[in-house]
Amino acid sequence: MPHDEPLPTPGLGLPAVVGLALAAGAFAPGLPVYAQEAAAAVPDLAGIYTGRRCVTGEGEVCPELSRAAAGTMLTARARAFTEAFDELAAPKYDCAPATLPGLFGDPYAFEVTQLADRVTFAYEKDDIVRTVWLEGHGHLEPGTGDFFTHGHSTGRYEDDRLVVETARFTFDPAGIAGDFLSAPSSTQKRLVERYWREGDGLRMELTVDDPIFLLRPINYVMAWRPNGGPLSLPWGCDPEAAQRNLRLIPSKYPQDPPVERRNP
Amino acid sequence: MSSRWSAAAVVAGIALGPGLPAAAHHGAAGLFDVTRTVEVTGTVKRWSFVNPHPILVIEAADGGGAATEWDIYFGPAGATGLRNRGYAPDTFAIGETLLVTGHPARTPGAHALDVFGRAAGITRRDGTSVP
Repeated sequence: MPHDEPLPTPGLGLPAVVGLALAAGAFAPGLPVYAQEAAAAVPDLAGIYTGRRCVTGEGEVCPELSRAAAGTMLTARARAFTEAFDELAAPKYDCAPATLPGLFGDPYAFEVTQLADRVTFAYEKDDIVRTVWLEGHGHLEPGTGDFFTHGHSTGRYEDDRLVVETARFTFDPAGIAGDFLSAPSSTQKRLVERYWREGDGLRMELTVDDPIFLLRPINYVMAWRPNGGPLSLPWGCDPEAAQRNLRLIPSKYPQDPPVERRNP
Repeated sequence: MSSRWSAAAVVAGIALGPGLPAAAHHGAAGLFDVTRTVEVTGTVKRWSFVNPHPILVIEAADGGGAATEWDIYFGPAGATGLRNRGYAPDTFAIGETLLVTGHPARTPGAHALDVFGRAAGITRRDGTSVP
């Protein structure tokens, strides 16, 4: 499959890249012009990164929304949800995967792989793999009723950066912030990620917008360094371990019957 | 040190001042009182090196001599993160004696300690720190 081939390394030079690709039959009819343009403008972001840190001055929102920031950034309906939500109902206690943007705050490694028509992000946390469908390749768009845990991501290369736009998220009780704050996100949530290289590391500027639950967008810059080794996989979430913290968290609704969780 | 090991139950509660490193993730500071540390000496009943959080249970005698199980938490870290700090599936042996210094859970009646942060840690019987 031509689109599953990794992008050639920058050191090959454009003529060699195009020649090799044509020789391998990598470009389908109708795509050569785009492919040549893309090869010329594609920054090399591939690698395995870890050690996430917030770059500057965003302590109230990065890596996670603080309670103080929640008071000024969440809509009244979001704050009401936060007040009412019972922690034991959080999906993570059943090993549901981390969601965006909370995933960016998790201190685990991830791998960026650049292919001709897509970019994949594979995360140690929860064995998550995101696919960013690069524009101009005729990828299918989601239907009206299609929503996804990690949204639907499209991308393009722009000014030596990978710009990822993600929408079509399912409603998420921790979609703005999790971990005992539980600020939700709606099906209107949109993320814009801009990735670029900084030395041998990776940086990302993130903007999160949700007109239903955010009064203004969240914006911050995060940096990672090379991991120096492969991803540690699989994550293999253990439900009993996931639920262990609940022993220390009293329910907001003690009048309700106790919950006996059904684990696989 | 010897007096620590001779006592089989909770040895001490130590009040600490401000400025301690707090959990930066998963709100562990909300579950545990990071201004205090408690020492518990006990034997390992269970060690499961799993995600999202490893399970370490030690058994110690309470003030009345009854066996009490303590859950040991590692802050936000999963097995994947602890592996990078030198932990492994065989780090603890069942029946091994440990001295655990950790932040106590805020939940009334809970027997749980968090060993995340510089003020906390785990020491083996021979005095070596874990990992």
